[in-house]
Amino acid sequence: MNTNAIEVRGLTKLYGGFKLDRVSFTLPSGCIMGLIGENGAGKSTTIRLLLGLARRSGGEVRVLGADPETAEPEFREELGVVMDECPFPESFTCRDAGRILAAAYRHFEADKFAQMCKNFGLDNKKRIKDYSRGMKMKLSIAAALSHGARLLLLDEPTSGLDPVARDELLDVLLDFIQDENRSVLISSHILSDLEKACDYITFIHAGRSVFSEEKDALLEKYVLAKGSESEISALDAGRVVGVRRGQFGCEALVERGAAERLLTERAGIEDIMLYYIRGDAK
Amino acid sequence: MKALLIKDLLTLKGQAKSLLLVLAVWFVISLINGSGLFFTSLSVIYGMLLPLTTLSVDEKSRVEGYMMTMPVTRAELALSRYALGILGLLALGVLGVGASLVIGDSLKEALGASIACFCIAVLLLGVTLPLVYKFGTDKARVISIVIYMATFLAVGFIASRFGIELDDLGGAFFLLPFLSLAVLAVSAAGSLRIYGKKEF
Repeated sequence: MNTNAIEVRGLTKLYGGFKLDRVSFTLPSGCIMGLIGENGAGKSTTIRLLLGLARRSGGEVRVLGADPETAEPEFREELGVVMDECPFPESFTCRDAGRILAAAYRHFEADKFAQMCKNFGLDNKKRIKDYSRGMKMKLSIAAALSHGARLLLLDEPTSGLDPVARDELLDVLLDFIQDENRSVLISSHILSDLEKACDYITFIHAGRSVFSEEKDALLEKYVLAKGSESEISALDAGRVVGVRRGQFGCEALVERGAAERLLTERAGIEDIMLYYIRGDAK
Repeated sequence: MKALLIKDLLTLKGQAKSLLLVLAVWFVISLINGSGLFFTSLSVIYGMLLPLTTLSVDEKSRVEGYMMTMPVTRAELALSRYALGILGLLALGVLGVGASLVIGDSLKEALGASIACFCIAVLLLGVTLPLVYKFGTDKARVISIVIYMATFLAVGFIASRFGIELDDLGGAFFLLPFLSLAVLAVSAAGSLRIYGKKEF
């Protein structure tokens, strides 16, 4: 069995004025990877390419060992997908959604789907147009988890959800991943969520992958150093990711050990992303 | 294919009441006129609009992309609207025959009208679906109307130019099923090509 759920090498896609440029990452089986980046960075495009919904301009992609562009449709039996918007027509009820899923998937578990809808508080008779954003997302998640998927691909599932619903979703993902044959790729710009749940983080900025690393190694790698302008300027520029200058001094994201004489504190995923994007020149 | 047809039928379920109401009104008008042709022609043309209605809803909900994450092929997605259209036309065609017989038409008249309307609707469906696939429902609606108008004007012009009466074409109606089938085959091939390249 392939030990990687997803392998992406040099993935490139040209769209009018946008270019997804040689993105590479590997998601080992049994892990959760967070795909982070600002809006329009290329996260959704990457997921669409992984699903074969769009055709890549270059690079190689393997999802559960198959090329999504050429794989037989049966390969999608093992994928659970949550799009950024509820994909079912608004006139549908969750029972209608279940009917489609039952016809589409060989291993659809109707009882599990019904139970999940019930647990999520989704009314069988209510139309989707009357659902809140959180309820729509829960329906999509119930659909993704009810046909024996080995790999979940979730595109911005937490945006628009309240903190309680986001926490519930993360619990569902952590429960799903208990089986080591299962994996999750989740894109989000709510980084606190990803920091809680993910094993790996891939950061895409302006169509390019800036890094793809184990989350713990990433958090271990960087610290935030605080000091005066002259103290920050004196740091080894090669080990400084970015600097932010404020009224009362400077703050820099630096490699651990690069600013031992300065006051340092833990850098979160959000700090790391912000310094990569908005940190001033070193 | 089954999942796609179920999706389309569930989409149309919400419009079942208005469809039944429209059919009832047309039936009453036909009953008053004493001819089933009015009911048959309108209901069969209405059947042609069924796949276009579901396509319009699909565009709005972006369900197509989601269906493509399921074990469904692009070809099935492209052809499912043809299947829905033909099933709808068959059902409404049979209904048209039944209604015409109730109104008092002969079986020959009822069958002839229903088959002719079915073939014309299939032909129009064959022209319209690839346009919708390529340009979307809004643009395709305009393009289809232009094509239909241009065709009717051209036929009218040719008929008047060469002094052909519509009654003279009676024999040519036997060619209609073959013409519809040919248009359908070319149309399906074009649609498969469009969906083969489509990005969701």
